[in-house]
Amino acid sequence: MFQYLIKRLLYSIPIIIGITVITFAVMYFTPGKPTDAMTDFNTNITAESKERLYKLYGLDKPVYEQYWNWLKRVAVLDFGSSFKDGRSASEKIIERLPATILLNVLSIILMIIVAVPAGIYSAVRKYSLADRILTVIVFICFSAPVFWVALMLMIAFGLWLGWFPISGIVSFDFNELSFFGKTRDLANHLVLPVIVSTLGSFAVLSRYIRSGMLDVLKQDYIKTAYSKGLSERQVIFNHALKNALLPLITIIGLSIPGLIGGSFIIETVFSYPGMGRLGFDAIMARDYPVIMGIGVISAFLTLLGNIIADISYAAADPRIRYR
Amino acid sequence: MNILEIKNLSVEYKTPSSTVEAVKNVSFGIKKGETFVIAGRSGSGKSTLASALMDLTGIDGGKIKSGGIFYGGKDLLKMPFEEKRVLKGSKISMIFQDPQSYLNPVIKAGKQIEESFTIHNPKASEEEIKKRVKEVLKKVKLDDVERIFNAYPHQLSGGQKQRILIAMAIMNNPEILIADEPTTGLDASIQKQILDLIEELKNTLGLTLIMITHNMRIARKYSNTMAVMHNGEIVEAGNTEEIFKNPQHEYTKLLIGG
Repeated sequence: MFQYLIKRLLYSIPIIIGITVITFAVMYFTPGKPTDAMTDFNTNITAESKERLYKLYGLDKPVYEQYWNWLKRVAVLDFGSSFKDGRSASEKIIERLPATILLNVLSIILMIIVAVPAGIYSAVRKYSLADRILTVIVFICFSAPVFWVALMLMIAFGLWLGWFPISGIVSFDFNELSFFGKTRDLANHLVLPVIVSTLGSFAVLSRYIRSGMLDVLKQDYIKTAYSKGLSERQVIFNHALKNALLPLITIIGLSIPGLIGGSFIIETVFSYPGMGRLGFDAIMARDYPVIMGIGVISAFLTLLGNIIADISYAAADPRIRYR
Repeated sequence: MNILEIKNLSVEYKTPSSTVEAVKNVSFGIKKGETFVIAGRSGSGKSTLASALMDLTGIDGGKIKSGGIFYGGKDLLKMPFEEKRVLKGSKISMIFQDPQSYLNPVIKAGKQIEESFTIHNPKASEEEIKKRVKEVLKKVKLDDVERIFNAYPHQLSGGQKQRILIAMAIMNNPEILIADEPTTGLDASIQKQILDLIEELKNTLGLTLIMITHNMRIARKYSNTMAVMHNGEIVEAGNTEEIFKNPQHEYTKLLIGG
């Protein structure tokens, strides 16, 4: 097991490097330069100072040299400074982490709480009215574009009903509130983003659980369980559930990167100060160090999530042992 | 006096395109204490019939269309689920073909064995459970109990698994044991051991044994009465020796001949 872990971690290194090469290349060949805001939009700029700016940011060098310089710095964990405000890229990223983690942990918890029972119920009462209604809801959740749902909820609950704030993470007067008031204010701001970011994953997970459960309920050992004299409830919870929940591990493993990488769309629509928003702004400003920093962290977490999922799988299913 | 009476039983499987009647209007009775073999080739409906006796038809997507299964004067098919549930695993038990897939892969063997006892004796103490489980494991001749108890099914051999399934089935001293091709999927050397074990348990525990098999030699050796199934119907039934000596139906002759 330990050997397997080491092997997996070593395999990750070339993958991460590959991802950074592609990210760097895509970023570099995308029209527009980080200096555009200061140069092309500035009528007073001279060709000379434009050159100087390029030189300052190292943009005059060929792309492979730029990448190599970046890689050398990253090797000692220096992600460079933002082109936009000169602050360290890692500092900017770390400061956005808590908000994104909070949003995504809540939405993963909500996803599990809603999707697991829904999936199990759908499977156990297959083709019942409730199953059909759930199926329709799931397809709506899955196919409705996230930004559209977000806007609709903002209109309905934010503007018409006025129940929840529609942007940001806290109110302007947050610092003057009591502890209870702060918690309440934060919770109010989180309701809509959490719901929106749960919808898609709820749809996927509940389908996985449903089909997993349906598959398990046809297995031979379920017949053994019934012929022992177990009730349907006992068969489902003591014998079928653990087998049916195995896919949950993969889904949670796969959502680890999102946990920290955040969602560009949701955070942008809700003006939520998280990693996704930072990434979006960085891309719009062609802020290379920040884009690359987020890219590396997301890639690392994706791979880590996969490894954790594989290992948890072995822990949950005694038949699987890795070498 | 018949312990189990099957009357006009029909079981069907529906697929979107067709309906297959796997068991057609079957009637027979099983006497207390006998070994009753239901013989036939695969697809003859014999396993479907066994599943119906154990109320497992729905799991495979089948449906009991009509008929009755009478046990102790009551029709099992008209019984509420809860009343039927109490009988299963305590009065009527079943073991299956291919033990590989009939134990839950993610639960330790010991826990699965204990469950057979605790489900029907919810108030039993730890010691009572341990004592009974030990007794039963001895009856099915499982040694190395300590290891088996803490093992997951994939760590056990086919013979060990079948013994565990038998142990679970006889845990509560049932009256009827249904054995659906109990040696399929086992090594030839183990097949005889398992059959002899079932035979021995039948005698010591006073079980009524219903055995499903496609093997006519097994049928002849172990049964008193047999029924031959073909295309969902019982084509011939009666005393095993008489059927072997003087088969009436063409299909029976074919089975005995081959």
